[in-house]
Amino acid sequence: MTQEAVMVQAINRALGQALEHDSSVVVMGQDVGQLGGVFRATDGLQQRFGNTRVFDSPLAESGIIGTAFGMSLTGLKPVAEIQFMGFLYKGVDQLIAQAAQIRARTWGKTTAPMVVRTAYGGGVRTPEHHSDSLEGLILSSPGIKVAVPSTALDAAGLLLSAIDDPDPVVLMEPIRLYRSAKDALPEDDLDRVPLGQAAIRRAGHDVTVLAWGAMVPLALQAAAEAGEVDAEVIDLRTLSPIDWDTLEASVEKTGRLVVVHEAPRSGGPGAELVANLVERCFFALQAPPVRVAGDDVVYPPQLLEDIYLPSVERVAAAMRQVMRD
Amino acid sequence: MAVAAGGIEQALAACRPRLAGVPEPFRVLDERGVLVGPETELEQDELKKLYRWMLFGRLLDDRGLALQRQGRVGVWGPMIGQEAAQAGLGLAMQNGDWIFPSYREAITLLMHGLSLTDLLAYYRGLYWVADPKATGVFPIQIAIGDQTLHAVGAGMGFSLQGKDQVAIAAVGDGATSEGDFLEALNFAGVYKAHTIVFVQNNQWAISVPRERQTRSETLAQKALAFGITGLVIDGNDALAVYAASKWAMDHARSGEGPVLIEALTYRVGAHTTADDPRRYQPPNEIEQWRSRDPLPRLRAYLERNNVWDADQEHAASAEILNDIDQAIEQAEAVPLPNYDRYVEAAR
Repeated sequence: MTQEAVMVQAINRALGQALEHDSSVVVMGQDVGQLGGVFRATDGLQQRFGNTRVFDSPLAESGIIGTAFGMSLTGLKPVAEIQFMGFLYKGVDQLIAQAAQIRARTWGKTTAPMVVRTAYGGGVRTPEHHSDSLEGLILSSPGIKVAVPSTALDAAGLLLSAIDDPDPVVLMEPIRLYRSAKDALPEDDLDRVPLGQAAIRRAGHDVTVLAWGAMVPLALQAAAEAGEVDAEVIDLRTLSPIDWDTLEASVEKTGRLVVVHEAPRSGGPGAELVANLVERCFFALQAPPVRVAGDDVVYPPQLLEDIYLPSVERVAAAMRQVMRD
Repeated sequence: MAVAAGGIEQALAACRPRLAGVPEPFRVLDERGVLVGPETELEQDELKKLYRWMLFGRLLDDRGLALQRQGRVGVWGPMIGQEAAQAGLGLAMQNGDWIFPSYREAITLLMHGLSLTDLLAYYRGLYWVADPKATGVFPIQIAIGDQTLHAVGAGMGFSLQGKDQVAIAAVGDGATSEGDFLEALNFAGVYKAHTIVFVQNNQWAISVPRERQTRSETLAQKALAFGITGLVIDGNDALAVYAASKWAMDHARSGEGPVLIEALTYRVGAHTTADDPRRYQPPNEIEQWRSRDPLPRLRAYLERNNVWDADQEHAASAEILNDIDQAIEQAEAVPLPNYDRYVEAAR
């Protein structure tokens, strides 16, 4: 027996499963209690597990992450919600300079088993500060893992793995897919999806297309649109650590590379992916790699965001371009 | 030397912060070491221990400065003048309690079980080699005030799990201007964290005086805004620091709520060996505070009560110096770890 569920429901199921099986798991954040989260990711959990397992926190991102870190040292596994990734900036010091660094600073003797779940990305007409994709910021910060699901099952599976992980993990949840990505979920326990394993969503021979989160369905659409190009679309699923083996094997095979992301181009994750894959696969490349990314501007007002965001047309054009070059 | 709990309660009630005005700080001894507050509950051996640790701190400071001048440690942050605040807090801590310190609580950390060899390894430049959870001593925090949230989070964790432990954040006056400090007090209040926030107000944040940190008349006043208990205490009175800290820890441990302690003291030395306080610290102010030295103050009380004398002082000093030199030798004998080992541990 299975049940159809959208991504945010799958996340809710995974949180419930973790709370049920592991008494050290606690869920915290703004509005996660009575309300069940602004996106309903924690719907019903406080009612089910009580307010010492699932609790609202004061409106302070640094406070949420800093206290989650402190709690994680006492044997708890906090899953903290930062409502929108644009507000993560306020907690970056506690996340990147504190939680992510405790392992190094104590020679591996102490780690911070905590998860920060955060809704990210554009395309749904949210107001300013609600559409940011800050994976580039975190990727350049050692000590922290980053997972980005593109399917409902992956959202649940990556979250469960993140909760098990001994170190801080940021789960970037694409707002655009919360209610559009659907999967059939098993009635019994959901499976874990290991961190650090990419998934080939469409096998192909001509060009490797790398994407994550909301860009994955977009890249698949582009692959269908540019039907004359046999694209291999890879969903990275985890941005830190990156599954270089899968990526390298694909580029060795196709000789062409397109990277798609919402974050601004300069210093973005695409820069690292291209640089690293050029280092690994230089002699296999048949064309210069291409990035389809957000522009190097502050995220635009929502009525203009469609021009800023990678589109099916832009990704399809990039696939055709690397075939011509 | 026991005293009814009511004595402490009453005395502490008078040193709570107010919306306006500065309360008289909680004091057990006056500046000459004469009893002016509730009699201490400490037995003779505990009193000796308290004083000996202060002496340890004073002598370690001398050695630390010398080691820095010789290039054997990177920087040293002198503790001179603040020994009572550190030792009084250390004596009040129990096994299983945790401390999230800044860089000016070495005495407290050593009293709680951190080995001097491990502390010196840090100052030599090797990160934190001791096991934080095993010792209850978390790494010295360099990003000012960040650890306040960690201690509050840990205190929330203790509370949520019904654990009989307290987490202490130790910070300086500068940290009280940080957003994280204020968020931490707020979270502590909301969740009744098993947490003490212990501020050594030494009047200077490198070159910025206390008056430039905040318009608030006391730092303890911040507790009022967050609905938690605050105390203003004489940080140079070791017996007062002990009694107030002990009371606060009992309060937090039993789930009655967190406590913010402002311990008034003074940074007689430089911020660190990289600092030149002659550029900003008024010499007469330093001299004024030198006359409030916490060591002779407690010693006078102990001598008057026949707990301590010149012979013991002499013998203890010799022992301490010997211990310090041994620890230095051991710390310097630790071979430089392999870089690969660091990378392995950090990943």
